[in-house]
Amino acid sequence: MPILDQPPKFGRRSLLKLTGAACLTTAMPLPTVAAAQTTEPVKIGVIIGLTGSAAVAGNDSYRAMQLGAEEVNEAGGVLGRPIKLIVEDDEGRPKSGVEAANKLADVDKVAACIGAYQSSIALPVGRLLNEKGVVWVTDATTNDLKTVGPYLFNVAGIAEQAVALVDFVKADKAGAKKLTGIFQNNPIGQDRAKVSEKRAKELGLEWIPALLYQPGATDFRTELQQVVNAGADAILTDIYDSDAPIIQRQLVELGMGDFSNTYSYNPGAYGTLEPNLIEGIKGLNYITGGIRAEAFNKKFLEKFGHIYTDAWGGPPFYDAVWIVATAINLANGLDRKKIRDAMWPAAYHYLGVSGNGDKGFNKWGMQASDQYEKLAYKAGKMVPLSKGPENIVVFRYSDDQGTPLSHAPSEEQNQQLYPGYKP
Amino acid sequence: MNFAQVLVNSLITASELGIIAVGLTLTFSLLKFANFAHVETAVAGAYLAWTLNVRLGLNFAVSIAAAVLVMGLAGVVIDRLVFRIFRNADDVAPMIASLGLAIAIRYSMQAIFGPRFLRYDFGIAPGMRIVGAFVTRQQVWILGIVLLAIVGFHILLQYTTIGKAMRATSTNPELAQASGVNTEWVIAWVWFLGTAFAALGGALVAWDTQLVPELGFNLVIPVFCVVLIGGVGSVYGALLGALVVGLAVNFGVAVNFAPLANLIGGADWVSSLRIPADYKPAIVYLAVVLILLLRPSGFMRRELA
Amino acid sequence: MTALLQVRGLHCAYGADEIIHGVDIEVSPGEIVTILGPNGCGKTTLVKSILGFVRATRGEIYFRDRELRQLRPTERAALGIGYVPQLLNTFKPLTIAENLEIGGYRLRRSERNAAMARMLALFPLLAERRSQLAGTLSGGERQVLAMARALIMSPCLLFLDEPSAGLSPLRAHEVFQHIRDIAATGTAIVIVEQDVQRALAISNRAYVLVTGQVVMQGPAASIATDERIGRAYLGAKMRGPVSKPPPLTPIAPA
Repeated sequence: MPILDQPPKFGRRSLLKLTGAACLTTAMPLPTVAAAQTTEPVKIGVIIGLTGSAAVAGNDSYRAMQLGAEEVNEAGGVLGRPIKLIVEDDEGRPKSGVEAANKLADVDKVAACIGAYQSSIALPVGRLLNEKGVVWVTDATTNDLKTVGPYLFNVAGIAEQAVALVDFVKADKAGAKKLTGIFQNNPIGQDRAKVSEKRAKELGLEWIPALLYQPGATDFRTELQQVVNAGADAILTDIYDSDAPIIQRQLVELGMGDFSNTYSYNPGAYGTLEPNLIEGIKGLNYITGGIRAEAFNKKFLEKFGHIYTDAWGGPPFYDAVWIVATAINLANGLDRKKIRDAMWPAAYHYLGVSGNGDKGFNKWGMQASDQYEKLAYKAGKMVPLSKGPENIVVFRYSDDQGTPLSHAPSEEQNQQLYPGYKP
Repeated sequence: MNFAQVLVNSLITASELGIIAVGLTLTFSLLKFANFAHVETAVAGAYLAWTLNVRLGLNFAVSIAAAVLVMGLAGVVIDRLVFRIFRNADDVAPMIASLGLAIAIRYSMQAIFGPRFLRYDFGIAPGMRIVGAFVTRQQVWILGIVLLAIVGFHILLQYTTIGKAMRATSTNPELAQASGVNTEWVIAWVWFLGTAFAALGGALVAWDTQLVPELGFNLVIPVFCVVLIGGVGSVYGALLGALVVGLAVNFGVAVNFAPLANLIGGADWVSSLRIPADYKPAIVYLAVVLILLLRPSGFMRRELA
Repeated sequence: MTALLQVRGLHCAYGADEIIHGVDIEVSPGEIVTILGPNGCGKTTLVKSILGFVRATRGEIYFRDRELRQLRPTERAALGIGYVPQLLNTFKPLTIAENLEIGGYRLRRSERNAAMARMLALFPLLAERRSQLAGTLSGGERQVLAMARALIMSPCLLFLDEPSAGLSPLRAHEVFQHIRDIAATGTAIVIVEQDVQRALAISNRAYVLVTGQVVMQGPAASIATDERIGRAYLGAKMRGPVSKPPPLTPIAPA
């Protein structure tokens, strides 16, 4: 029988021995598990309200992130691997957000997390992820965010916006003496009330205690009457999209449908309502401008068939995906601390589609400047109050917080910035 | 404070909570467990009415009536499928089952109808002015429908054989069975009526406000408080409880307590002292605590009477 | 004479605890039978298992030659078995008229009205207060109402659980008078009673139940005078007419 009629038979065990021996003899390293997984996607966690009180903006935000992830992958991904978004619904509830963060950090072992349109979720999730040492990028805006820790980054809006709205009211409504507000009863609403009151008093205006309404409730009639009839010349509002319809409806039904003295921090929340529920509301809207924003809007519309209703709920999250991806590449690995430190140069050199495009972080990891537009609802449409450059309000922190950093603060600096922080 | 307006607001809150609470307390009175899925069936009824009216273009009144009827029957089916096996168990097992059912219903609604708010197809306009209060047309209807439903239910409970059998079964189920009352049939009726009331209440709340999947989340605590105040299992107590809660939350945030504080303090040391609106849920709890301190088992005895 | 109710080798249990261990009982039409025994011997459990409220694990229950074990309590009631439980014997928040109406729940409206009229005629006390709530009645009045409620269906067999519980001697006497009147109309009655003397005085026969077993049975008069029963099982001093009792049939424990 010819010897080579059949190929020689090796058992799996002997094959392993053979390769082992071969490796030994040629001094080649054994193929390791990590190397075998080099095409495995790099996971990035997403915590966003797909349901709950800010679900409309939440879904658009997630769409923007999907668009960003797709583009990153088309461009070659990170570390030669694709990125994969793992989404968890925060349901508009802090508890769900924190549970999601735990799962993403410990079970999925994501490289970084992005999300939370609402400060009430961004804060507790930020605290948790800072403990775990996972980068957390949000576009929520409240003063408290910057004190959380070095792993928290903010890619849109800054809390000084509250100051600007009060300034806007004073300039727009000559003779206004008393102000009040309608805000959500949560950290961001309470923060809005505090900042607005402080600024109003600085400008010599009277502040009537704001209505902090219960998000998700269905009956606001009596408290709305209290606040509207309190004698304020202007009412500042920050109402999320699921509460806006019912609050506006009850105002109209109770004969308080004149909105010419309503000024909103978040006018986009009124975007889907009937004209008679919103006519005359003014506000400062986060705007995205420039040629990159135009291109982004076009891509969003083509891919999803509609344009996002709220400039906050979309473009900043697209930028967040790109900044995180760039940071992972700069970190040249999945070391979470290295990714964190790479966030500063990544954002410093990146030109975004949201705000004025400048996404640089200050020492707190907050965006150093941003821009807003003065708007008013006319015949159901949100239109700029005027055409000229005076309609754009650019914010920038007045002190060194207004300076973007091209490199991460040192650990010594971090310890000064965040008293409880341990490297 | 516009007294008439706050009163109207209170009555509307009370009628919406009351009609849902009556259904909850009715099932409790016979089956002696807290059905956490009750408010979710209210939301499901509201979605069903919305589907019939807005999606399928049926007349609004027909849609509400059909939704109430269908949900009533669904209540009977739910009992057969979920709760019947616990009939002789303690009250914890069916309560836990109802929690599971509540979650299942809420997330099904969310999956089917999406997270966005929905509204019945009516224009929104300022209400009519009646003695200084703004009242919308649908609010007048809601008050009327709730009143009619309550009167109808009272007649059914007091004067019909099935109503008497419900009351008998609620007080002494063993004796009712020994008297030849088919208690399973009575229980089926109770589920039908209880769930139908929930669906009616849900549809009315949605008509007056808006429809979101979390509606049940925001109704569950006030509705349970109403039932607690009224005396768990007491239908008439639940109505009284709804009135107490309606008046408490609305007058609680509307009243300026400064004169009272000055009276106690003996000087004009404060000009305005109000309970902030964010304490509204706390006012409900306070009402529950105060009333349970005075009457530990609520206003009424825990039987259908 | 064939028995109206025949219970053979009945075992029943609350959950895992067996309470009745193989009991035989017979009731003939029109007779009054008393079930005696110390507290906790299983008298009420035995009655409730015949009525269907307690699960019978073994044995047979025949009523008018029909096996009852597969029937629900409601269905057993519909066959003509009436029941007046101890203490919780009325629907307290319902009026007297409504209590009677529930008693006649299975009747057609016209029949029910006729039956109610008959009961109100039989118990004038109830007729006067027909729209009064049962919860406002005294214990004796409630017992009367409970019997009227049970009788409205004209049952052939009526179970009375402790009919004199909580009543003054005078009221108890009245209640036993009513029981005798009811039996006279042909309804068989089973009484579970602690007031041994009074119950035996109106009964035809009696069973003595101890820890879930029948230990003695026989004519009521014999049991009433049997010293052994008083000492051993009932813990009560037996008095009563000393006549010539028929011989007893002692039963050895199984």
